[in-house]
Amino acid sequence: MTAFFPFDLSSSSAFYVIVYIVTFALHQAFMHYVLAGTWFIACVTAFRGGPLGVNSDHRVLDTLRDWLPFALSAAITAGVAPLLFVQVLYQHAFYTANLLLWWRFALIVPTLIVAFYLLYLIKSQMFQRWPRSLQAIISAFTASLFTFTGFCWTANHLVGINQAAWTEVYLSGHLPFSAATILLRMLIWIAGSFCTMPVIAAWQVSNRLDDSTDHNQYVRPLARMAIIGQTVSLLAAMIYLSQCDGAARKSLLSIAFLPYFVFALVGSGLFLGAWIIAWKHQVLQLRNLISMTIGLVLNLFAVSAYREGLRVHLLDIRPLADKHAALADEHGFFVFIFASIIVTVLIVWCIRLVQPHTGSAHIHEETGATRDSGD
Amino acid sequence: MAGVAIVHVFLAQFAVGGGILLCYFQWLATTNGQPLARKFVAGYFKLLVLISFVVGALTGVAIWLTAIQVSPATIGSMVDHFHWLWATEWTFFCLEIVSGYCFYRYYARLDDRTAMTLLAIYSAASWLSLFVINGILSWQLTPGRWLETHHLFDGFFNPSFWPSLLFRTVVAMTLASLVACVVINTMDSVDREARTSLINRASLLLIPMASMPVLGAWFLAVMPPDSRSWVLGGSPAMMLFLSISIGSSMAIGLYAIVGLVVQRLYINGATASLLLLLAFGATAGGEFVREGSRKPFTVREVLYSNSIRPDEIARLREVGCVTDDPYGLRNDSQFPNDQVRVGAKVFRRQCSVCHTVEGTNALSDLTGAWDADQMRINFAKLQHTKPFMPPFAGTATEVEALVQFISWATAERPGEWPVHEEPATIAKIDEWLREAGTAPGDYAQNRKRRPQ
Repeated sequence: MTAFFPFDLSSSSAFYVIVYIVTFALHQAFMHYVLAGTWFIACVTAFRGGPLGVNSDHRVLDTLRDWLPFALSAAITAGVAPLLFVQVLYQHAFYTANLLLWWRFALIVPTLIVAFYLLYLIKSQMFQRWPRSLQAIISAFTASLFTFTGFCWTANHLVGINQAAWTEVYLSGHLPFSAATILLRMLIWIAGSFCTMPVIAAWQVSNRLDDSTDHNQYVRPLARMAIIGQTVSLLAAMIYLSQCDGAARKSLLSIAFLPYFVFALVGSGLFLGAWIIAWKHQVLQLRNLISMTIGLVLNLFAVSAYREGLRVHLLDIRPLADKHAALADEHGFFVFIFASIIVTVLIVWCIRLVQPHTGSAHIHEETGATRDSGD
Repeated sequence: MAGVAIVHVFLAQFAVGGGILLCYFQWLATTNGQPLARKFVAGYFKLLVLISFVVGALTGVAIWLTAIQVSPATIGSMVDHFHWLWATEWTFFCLEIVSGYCFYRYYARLDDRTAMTLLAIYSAASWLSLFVINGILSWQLTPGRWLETHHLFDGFFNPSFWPSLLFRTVVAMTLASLVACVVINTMDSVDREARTSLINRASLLLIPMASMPVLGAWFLAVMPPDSRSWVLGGSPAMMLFLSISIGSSMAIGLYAIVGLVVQRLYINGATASLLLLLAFGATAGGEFVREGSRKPFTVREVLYSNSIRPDEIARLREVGCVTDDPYGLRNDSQFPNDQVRVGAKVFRRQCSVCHTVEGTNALSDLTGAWDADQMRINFAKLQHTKPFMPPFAGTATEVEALVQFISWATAERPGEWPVHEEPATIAKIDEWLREAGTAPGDYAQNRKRRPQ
């Protein structure tokens, strides 16, 4: 593979890759919030704050409990688009993976139904009156359900890209990857979810803070999660890369992926820099929030591009170029664009309609002043 | 897949109708036409969110996953042709959940006008998602002019699009109204007189049921003639399910219009639940008929039920349907010889999507009274054996292999089984295959042959 974009693909195939990556990144954002959010609740409940220094009535905890059901609904809805475009792009490979996994993959549906209702339970006042140990068990179980869902999707992905193993998978039922491979991949995105969730939570919480609030109790726990998450995710990614086969590793380290490496580098720098500054100053400033958000978006895009680049390399979808060109000629694209514009306007309008009723303070503006260190 | 689809359709249509119903009740609240309207709206929407936004949404994903299991070629074909409209439907889903959650979360603090706006947006988004998916699904049965033009909108606005859309909209309103009757009965703090008033209002959405016979007849009229013949007697199973659907709908409709609308009766929770159960039965029957009436196709004249295209039949008759099959057989050692193995592969390729060997719709039961020659001719002339079956898409040798596999399985899978390779038999099967041709069966061919 020589071209950095579109991965030596035809313009039609590249177009669908872009659409897939963009919609997948949107789905990831919500999914990360849900996954990291439920683990955060579970850990805080189980360890009474523990290493994060978060007590049970912490505003981040309340915010997560409050918004997780909506976030899951958003994750599932946002996931429909990449599910659609992955079929357009990979056709046979995606369908074969589904057929081979069958009920082992279809388990995600009842899993998510149960997890969804557990999120509503966790949100309820009744739940918060239950013994702490029971709350911790239920929260951890819920988080496990989301982790299992992610495992199923990871397995689906890994089966799909391993064409040579399909007949053996069919006959034996054994999945064609090692525990180490799947654990590393899961570690990349689980740790990554602890990058996304703190950013979203920071926007949510800072929106309701004012000058009288002790920002430190919110900033440091979120910063800790984000910095550790980013570091672990990057380390896991490097180890995973070192374990890829030679041709794939050569491709990922080639000039073709240089732009995405730069995105990841810049994104990580912005992300970590913003959180370190927030840690030091113990305040969530608008400038930092914007910086960490841009960093997060760049990282999400870079990781998605690497993921897709690896899949495109392994599956070689260039023979599908004519098919993708024919599909791109199917009418309806402008209906989609038109509907997207109208829907976006209406979504913004809905939010603006309820905004006067959401209550609480504006985002803390940049003051230039620092606060005394609490640590 | 059927089970998942029925649950999803039921819940999704409930969500669509729920939006319409709530717009009406919010209007009543705004105009002070119903003092308890706001309380009802709050309670009803909570149910919508807790059931439809959860199980409704996830069963939608489940349909996709199970459809891939049944026929990836079908879902692939639909995705290929309609992915931009499906993506458009996705935008409506996004609008639905944002407007829905905004309403759910903040309703208590909203003025009536804002609440109405949010409900109207939610209602429009949910109905538009029905609009889109209806076009894609109805294309499967009646692709219409799309077969010649391959133009997206010829396929989308196909002959059964409008009767199907209008029918589903009426069903949506019916389900929402019946659920409302159940919900109202849970409002313990409200006296019976007030509950009766709410029920009378909610039951107004049952009035459109009067149009169902007309819409149903319209749908039947635009169905392909052979599909229509299955549901009107050609297939006992389909006719049974259609009868269940019609009977249940009639029971609900008569009770609704005469009892609830005209006589303004009160309906208790048990009765309302029973009507809702009947409605579920009607939905289940209707969906079964809708799916089954496509036979032998999943996309009319484009793809057979076994994912083989009509234009592939001739080639597969020459080269065989399992010649290039890279997948071995599980538990390979159980098969007594290679001929039975080939038969097992032919079964997997052409039959297993709808049949089992020993179980539901089992070939061992369906062919239980046939001897080997009967099986040979029936498989070779499959589309004439039953016109809702596709033509056999393989060689004469593969027909014989399938016969031997079914016979061996019916004989309880003995460890030894003779190989049948008589050239005369293969030649006879070949002759039958040529006589049958590669076109789908014509259910009316004998009528056409009658002397005038």
